[in-house]
Amino acid sequence: MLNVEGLTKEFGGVVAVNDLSFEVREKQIKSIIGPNGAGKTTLFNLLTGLLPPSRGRISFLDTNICGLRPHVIARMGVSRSFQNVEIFDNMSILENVMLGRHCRTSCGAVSIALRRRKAVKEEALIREEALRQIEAVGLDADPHSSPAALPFGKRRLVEFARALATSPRLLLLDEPASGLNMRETEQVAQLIRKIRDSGVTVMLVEHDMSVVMEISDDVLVMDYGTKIAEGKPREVQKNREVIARYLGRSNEYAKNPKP
Amino acid sequence: MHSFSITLQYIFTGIAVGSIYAMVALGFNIIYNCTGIINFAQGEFVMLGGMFMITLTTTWKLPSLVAFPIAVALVVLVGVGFERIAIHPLKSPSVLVLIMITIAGSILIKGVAMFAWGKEPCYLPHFSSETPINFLGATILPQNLWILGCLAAVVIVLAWFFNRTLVGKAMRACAHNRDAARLVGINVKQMVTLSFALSAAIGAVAGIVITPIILMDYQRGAMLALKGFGAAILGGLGSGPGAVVAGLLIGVLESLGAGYISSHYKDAIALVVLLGVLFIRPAGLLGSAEIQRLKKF
Amino acid sequence: MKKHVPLALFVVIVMGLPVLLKNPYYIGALVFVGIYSLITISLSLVLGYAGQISLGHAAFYGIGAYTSGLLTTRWHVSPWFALACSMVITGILAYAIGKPVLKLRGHYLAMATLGLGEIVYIFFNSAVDLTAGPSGFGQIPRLAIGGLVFKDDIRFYYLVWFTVAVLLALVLNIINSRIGRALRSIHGSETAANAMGVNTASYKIQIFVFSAVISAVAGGYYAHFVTFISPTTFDANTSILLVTMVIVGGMSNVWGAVLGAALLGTLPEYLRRFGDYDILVYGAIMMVIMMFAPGGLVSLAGLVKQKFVGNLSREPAA
Ligand SMILES: Nc1ncnc2c1ncn2[C@@H]1O[C@H](COP(=O)(O)OP(=O)(O)OP(=O)(O)O)[C@@H](O)[C@H]1O
Ligand SMILES: [Mg+2]
Repeated sequence: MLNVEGLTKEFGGVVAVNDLSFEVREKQIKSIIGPNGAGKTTLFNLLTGLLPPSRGRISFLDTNICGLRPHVIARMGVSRSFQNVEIFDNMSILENVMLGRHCRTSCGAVSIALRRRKAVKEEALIREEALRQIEAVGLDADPHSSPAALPFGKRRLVEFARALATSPRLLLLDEPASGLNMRETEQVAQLIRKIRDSGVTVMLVEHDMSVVMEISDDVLVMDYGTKIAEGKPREVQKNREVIARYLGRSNEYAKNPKP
Repeated sequence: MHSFSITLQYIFTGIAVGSIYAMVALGFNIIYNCTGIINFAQGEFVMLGGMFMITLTTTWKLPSLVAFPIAVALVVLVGVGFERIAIHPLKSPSVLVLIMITIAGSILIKGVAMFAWGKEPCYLPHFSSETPINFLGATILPQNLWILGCLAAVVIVLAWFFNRTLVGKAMRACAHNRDAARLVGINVKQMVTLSFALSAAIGAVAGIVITPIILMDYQRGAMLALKGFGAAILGGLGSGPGAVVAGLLIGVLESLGAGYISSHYKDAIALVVLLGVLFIRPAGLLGSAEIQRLKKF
Repeated sequence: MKKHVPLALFVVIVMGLPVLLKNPYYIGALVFVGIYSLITISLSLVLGYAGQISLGHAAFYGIGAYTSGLLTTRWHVSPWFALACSMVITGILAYAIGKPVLKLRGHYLAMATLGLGEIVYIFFNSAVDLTAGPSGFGQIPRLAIGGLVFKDDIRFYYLVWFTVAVLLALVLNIINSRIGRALRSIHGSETAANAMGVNTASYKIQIFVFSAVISAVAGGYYAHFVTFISPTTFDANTSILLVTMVIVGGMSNVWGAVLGAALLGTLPEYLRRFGDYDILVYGAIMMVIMMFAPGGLVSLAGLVKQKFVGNLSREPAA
């Protein structure tokens, strides 16, 4: 459903994503792994239109989405979460998730201002769907309270619910397990599976190898913006270059955790 | 007069006023670099400089040479006081809050100035003779030379301060990366206060030298600040050399515009330049095209 | 419906105030509060909801007033039609200005809007042939519906506050809708809003134009109420006053906008004996609010309420 060809992004001299090509098939979980600064977040920003690519082609459901603005891409069914959770602290949890519904609703200012029946009905549907998503991600907090005070793990869930409320075809998750404890990580892994089983294709950036190896159908390894390996989790794990360049480095890190 | 000498005349006038814009722009830059704040009260520092000087020389009858440093010191006190009272205690304020606080500060200073000096423009005698000097058919007021001299002095002192002294280097470190500066043991909060002191001092100098030419009243500062900000933007926000070049450029443009186009719209010229630069090239003419800076807001 | 209680209460207060305040002088002051409220309500959408700073709204207020004033006095257009024209013209100008300006953020946006306001002010002063320059012009006709001419304060009072109530009703509907959420999401995180399918650029410009158009209405009302206009009414100080009203009241709440307009709009009346020095009081109020309650007075009220209600509801659990 997603086809990326020769995608490149340069920041001044830095090539953050370098001639990257890959494919994501419907209803699979595709993980992107790679060391810090490999260009994973940049890749997501390119896919969602937040950054314009320097070169290359991205086609989603057989349409070229390169150069489209982010809200258009979102409307086409690509949603995401952010590495450092970007939820709106100036709105309640419920409103955050209701915002996700924005691109699936269409009532204009006039009918809203006049409280036409159509608008009232739509608002009720938005609320209903938002509450459903809050429940689906297993968030147990007062939906009318502010998310500002929530612990990190629950803020993540708010963001998930918001992303799901857009009814995505493709969901990009940027390090959904970072900063979570083991129990929460397990919950998130379950949740991602559930999302996939409900028919949503998932792209996942994650540093926690146990999660990646457990739930991915396909893994892509990046370093310095280039693809160095791609395949089933087992295959990738055995790949020499990956071990040398990535897993090896993280082993080193494990031995000597101080940077 | 020949058209050449008329043009030359406009340019001379423009350079004098432009020097003031340059100094105001330098003031903006120093605080901006250190804190990321645009100090909307910058123009009030200029106004206060002129006003203090007037009181010290006319009411207290101090000789100019003595009054000058005292006036500057008084404005520095105001600047530091303002920072300590209104900005220092804030914890991670939003841009809007900072803007409104510095605007509130400017309103308060304006109010006090109106209280102290009244609403009428105040007069300060020229530093030296008022007889114009002839030059290629155009004339220069000696006061204009004083203005240029002050700009030169300010630039030299700043260059020395930022490049040669430890404190200056520490301030530059703050400008570059606040967190890193804190890590190497620089007291960032102190640097912020110092930046207000420094920029108040520059504002005061500008106010003192310009007052004999334009007279000074309590609300003169606002327009000078807006134009000075135009210069800061044109030169690339944060860039010292940029501020000086852009200040002079805007002064000259304004003076030529007033002479050849319309004196009514004289004040609009600097503003149009400001907007033009903001729309087309927010990094400024001389600033690096580092749009990232912009995004920090 | 619980939602409508505040608005109903508001209407009752507005209807009742003139009965309580017999002094026509106060009614006149309240007309101005109403005119300010129109602007602050719409400005709070720009400032508090969408998070875009505008220090140039007096320009739209002025363009509205001048367009309406000039059309009626020079070309003898009917006042209501002139008001409509001023809305359209201001809207078009706001769109043209907003397109480039709203790409800027923070300090840049503040300075750009301040500069634009100043340019418009300079224009009012300098285009003497058109605007009569600094001295302004008078004899602007009054608004009338049929035979009912809004000539005394009390009639105009009802006209203005009727408009405020309508605007409030519409705006309250908007802010609790997908559009209101979209606006607030821009304030929260423009990137995230974009990624969630909100066309942030378009919403920013729409709300900016909307508030400019409402400011033009306020300007038109001003022109036809006072029947005389001059540039000083629309200078940078007015822009700053408007923003201050919004912020003092509480910028992320439209009721705060009305509260701010009511407090700061009537302040000159309390401060009459201070004469010109009321500027000091303004500055001080602004400074104190910004330092200690950046959420404005409404947030203080909310805090108090939370304390009481919070304690009450928590006690049984504890
Ligand atoms: N907006 C930007 N401007 C300039 N350089 C950038 C920008 N965004 C990212 N980069 C650079 O691109 C490279 C890739 O960054 P990216 O954030 O995509 O890495 P990442 O794989 O997500 O790393 P991490 O695991 O730490 O999240 C880095 O060298 C980074 O410094
Ligand atoms: Mg990343």
